[in-house]
Amino acid sequence: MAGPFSWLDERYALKEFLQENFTQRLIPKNLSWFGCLGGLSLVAFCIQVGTGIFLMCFYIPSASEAFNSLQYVKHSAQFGWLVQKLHLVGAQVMVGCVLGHMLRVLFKGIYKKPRELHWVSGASLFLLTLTVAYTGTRLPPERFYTWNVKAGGQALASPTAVTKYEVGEAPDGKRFSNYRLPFFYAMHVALIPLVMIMFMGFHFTMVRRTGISEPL
Amino acid sequence: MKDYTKDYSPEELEPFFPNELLRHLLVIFLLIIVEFVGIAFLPETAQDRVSQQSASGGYQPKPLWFLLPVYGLFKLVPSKTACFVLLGCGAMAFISLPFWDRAKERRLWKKRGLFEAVIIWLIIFLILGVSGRFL
Ligand code: HEM
Repeated sequence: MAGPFSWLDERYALKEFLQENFTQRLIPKNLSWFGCLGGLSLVAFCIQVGTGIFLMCFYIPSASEAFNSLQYVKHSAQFGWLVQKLHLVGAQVMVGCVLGHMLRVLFKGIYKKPRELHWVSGASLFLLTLTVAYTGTRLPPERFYTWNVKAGGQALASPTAVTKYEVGEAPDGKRFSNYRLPFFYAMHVALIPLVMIMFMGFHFTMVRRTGISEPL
Repeated sequence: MKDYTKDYSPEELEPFFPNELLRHLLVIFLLIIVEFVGIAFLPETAQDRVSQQSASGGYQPKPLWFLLPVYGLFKLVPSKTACFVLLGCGAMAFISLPFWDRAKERRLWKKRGLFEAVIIWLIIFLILGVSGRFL
């Protein structure tokens, strides 16, 4: 056998990997369809990452620019409206999948020995999923009362050495600085997704070790 | 990787490829359909409504449905610290479930006590969610 496959196979034992994980792998019959919800949560997460990277190319986390940048994505960027809405709908679908997956595990008691740590990592993933969705909803400008911000906007366009100065006042009298938006943005696109990927690593390693639970 | 051939007889097993792989592809396809149905029928973000209504100052954007219970909690309980303490305790109890539910029985609906606790928990979430929506 010659060609790129055998070249790779020689270095990474691809054939063995494919046989072990796919072509020669045997699994119990009659697994429940609800068992797919964990895998679906992963697929939904990947869709969020993909559409999120697209949105990162346009969105500007600044009180004066956020609104315009989102308008650009929705109305001018090619397929921007589709990707932006897919990200919004996808978030709700992902929460639905993770919630369904968690309820199945809870109702069937699949968290019992030897799967306690599957639950610990999974429950943390559930809370992280909610947190990442929350930080995401803080990014569109309507969430910080764009239209009611008094004395915001223009001042930001000029460079400044002042740190943490306030850019606006909401109708309820609360003042806020421009740093609020970059903070939520950093949480939403970097810290929480990274922690989630780490927890998924734990989760999948443990699921692979114990295998799927038997039907009750 | 868990080897199922040790615990199951050959008649109880089936190949992962293509059987299980096709099932996975089918549900992934369904997930994509659900997302596109959502794109077609779910309303736009609140943005347009905000531009119309908040010019007059009266519009309060609401969080997405799954965040409403937490939002409702902050509306109902006046002290922010108390809310964070409640949320923190709830999260700890949730994450540590396998360590305090020591019953032999696995099925939730056969477990006295825990089953009722879960139902009460769900009702509390529902009430908080509804109050978050309408308060
Ligand atoms: C981002 C969120 C999550 C992802 C991507 C994910 C992914 C997965 C996958 C792919 C599996 C293996 C197949 C399956 O049984 O579905 C699995 C199993 C499992 N998950 Fe999750 N999960 C997530 C959240 C959770 C949550 C919230 C819990 C519970 C609180 C949880 C608890 C478990 C348990 C106990 C298993 C073993 C199931 C079994 O043996 O049948 N996971 N997860």
